[in-house]
Amino acid sequence: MESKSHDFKVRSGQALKDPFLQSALENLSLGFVESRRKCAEALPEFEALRDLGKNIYDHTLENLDFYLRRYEEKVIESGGHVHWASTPDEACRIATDICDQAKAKKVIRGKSMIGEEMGINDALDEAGFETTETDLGEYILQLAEEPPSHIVAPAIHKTKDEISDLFQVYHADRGFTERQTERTALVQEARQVLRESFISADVGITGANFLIAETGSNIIVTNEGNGDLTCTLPKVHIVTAAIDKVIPSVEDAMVLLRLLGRSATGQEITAYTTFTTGPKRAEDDDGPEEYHVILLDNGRSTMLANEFRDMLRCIRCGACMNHCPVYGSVGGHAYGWVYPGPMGSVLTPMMVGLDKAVDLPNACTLNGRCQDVCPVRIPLPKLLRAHRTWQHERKFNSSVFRFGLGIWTFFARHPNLYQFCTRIVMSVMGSLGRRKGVFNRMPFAGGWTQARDLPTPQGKTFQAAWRAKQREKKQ
Amino acid sequence: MTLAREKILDRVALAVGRDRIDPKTEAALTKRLNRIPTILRPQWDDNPVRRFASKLRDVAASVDVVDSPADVAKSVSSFLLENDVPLAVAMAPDDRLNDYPWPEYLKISRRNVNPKDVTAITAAEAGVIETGSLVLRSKPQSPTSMNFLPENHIVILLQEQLVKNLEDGWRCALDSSNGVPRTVNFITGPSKTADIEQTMEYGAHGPRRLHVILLLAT
Repeated sequence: MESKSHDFKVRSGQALKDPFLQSALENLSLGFVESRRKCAEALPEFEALRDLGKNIYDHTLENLDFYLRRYEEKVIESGGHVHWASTPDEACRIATDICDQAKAKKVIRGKSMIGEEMGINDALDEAGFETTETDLGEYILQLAEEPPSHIVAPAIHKTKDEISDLFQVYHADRGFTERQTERTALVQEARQVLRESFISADVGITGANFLIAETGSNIIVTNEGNGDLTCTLPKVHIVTAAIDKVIPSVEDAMVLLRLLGRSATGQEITAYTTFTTGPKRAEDDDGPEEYHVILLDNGRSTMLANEFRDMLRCIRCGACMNHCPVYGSVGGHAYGWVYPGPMGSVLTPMMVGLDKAVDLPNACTLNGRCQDVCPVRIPLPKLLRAHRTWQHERKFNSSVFRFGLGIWTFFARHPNLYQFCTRIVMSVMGSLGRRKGVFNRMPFAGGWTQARDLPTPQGKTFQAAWRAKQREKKQ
Repeated sequence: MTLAREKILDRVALAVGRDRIDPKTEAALTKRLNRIPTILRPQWDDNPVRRFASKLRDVAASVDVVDSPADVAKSVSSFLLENDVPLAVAMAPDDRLNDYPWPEYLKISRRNVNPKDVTAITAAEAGVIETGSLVLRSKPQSPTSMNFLPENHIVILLQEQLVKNLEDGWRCALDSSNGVPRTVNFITGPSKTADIEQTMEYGAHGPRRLHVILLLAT
């Protein structure tokens, strides 16, 4: 998927004017945030589990060389194949080659963010395969030709009316000519249409929530059951996963599963949690004959070596975006690439280029809510600050910004001058604004005063007030 | 893509700061994989049967807790009648399902499901009290399609199969030689989706109804 992250300001401006998106985002914060809170409170062990989850990943990442090799061995032992890809293009080529070799015509997909990162649907389309997304949200977006706007709830920005229109257009040739307007009817229509895709597909491609080194298994977590049909019915199952999905053992997986559902949707556990290991056994009545895993790096081994290693703990629950005031205002599409919200603002520059997503790490108030709710305690604000530092060192931020920051830096390094100037500015502003008590216009700060008033400074500067207080104490 | 493999593993090795893993580290890491850890697991004081049933009911499954094999058969019939579902089922070819007095009017096919089947009956390997999850594994007597293709999924479970935590459920799914099957499903409620305007709908792709019959020990 081509990144539009450089366009953040324009796209977020559009998002703020979209009334449906705004109400959907409000529902999201009411729904997911509230159910996560209840679910976390109902489990006394939750905070301790978060520490444990963090420790499991820290240990795994420190020994990723061992766990990747062990995982590969175990997959091969269970009759599967492991393929390695440095880049999304390499990963797509491996996937289309496997489909070619299987003489496949139809491919079905279970929802995965790594698939979006790879741009696998476009690659499959170009290679001439008929590809169908099976997660309802992703399917709707496939018809609409849009990217997901949330990593867990990909189609939250779509209205029921839009979905009715899409189904009416695309399902007509499948015999569904009536325009459905009820939610239940829409879900049932999609179920029937997609059922045919499931049954006729030659290859099923899923992601993986976790890969287990102990057993060579992959775990898929869903509520719809589409991932399970995708990996059970076709004769070939391909798992696409990043190298940071590997964890040591089934025991570790259970700890992380307890965190994932609660943090993502406020569920103790999703409807379906499935462990898949190798192809069908000789005596089995169903299941795929071939099992392939494509392991994608795409910059993660670089992050493993630098200060962004913490980001590799991410289990893609989406809690950070659910709790982010910026995501909550502009939604996922404004971020312009696969991963939105705080985790996206850290990952996107690493994956599409530091100079191509300059606004993202700056679209953050550093309020820290993302870090407060991250199940594996990723210090997201710290990582966003690190991006800002990188940008500044490489001169990727705008010259106006650098000029302003330069002025501030000069004064910050000369505290006496700083205090002198703030005293003057304050007294000037204080006398100018005394009558109204607020400023509703201000040179160089139009963007700010357009939306709110700036109160007139009152009394002394903070530092002067502080000094006075200290003097009082001494006396 | 062997080249990509070497490149990635080299970069990972560089990042973790070692060319190769010395035997001592290898042994320690292998030991961590094989340990039975005494790590944190959720605890509770509720009655196990009551907790298990209520966890499942919370996620919109129907649960019958019954005393006798005859009641198991009755529960199946009333579930089908109540939901106006045809009295024909695909029943897993699992010997554990032989011993119930199935009524004669129930048309039973002992085989894997096909796309036309409306209802499947399977036997679980375990029930996890922690979450109300059913543990099912793939094997000739229990094909995975049965858990996902039909509209209705009926699962039969014995009280002695209830285990405490998810970890215990996993162990019940392994075969006698600790071998890992192709598929282990933890199923907790019917299929659902909130992808249209964040409102819950049941029966997205998998079963619209999940009916669990728990037979108490005598």
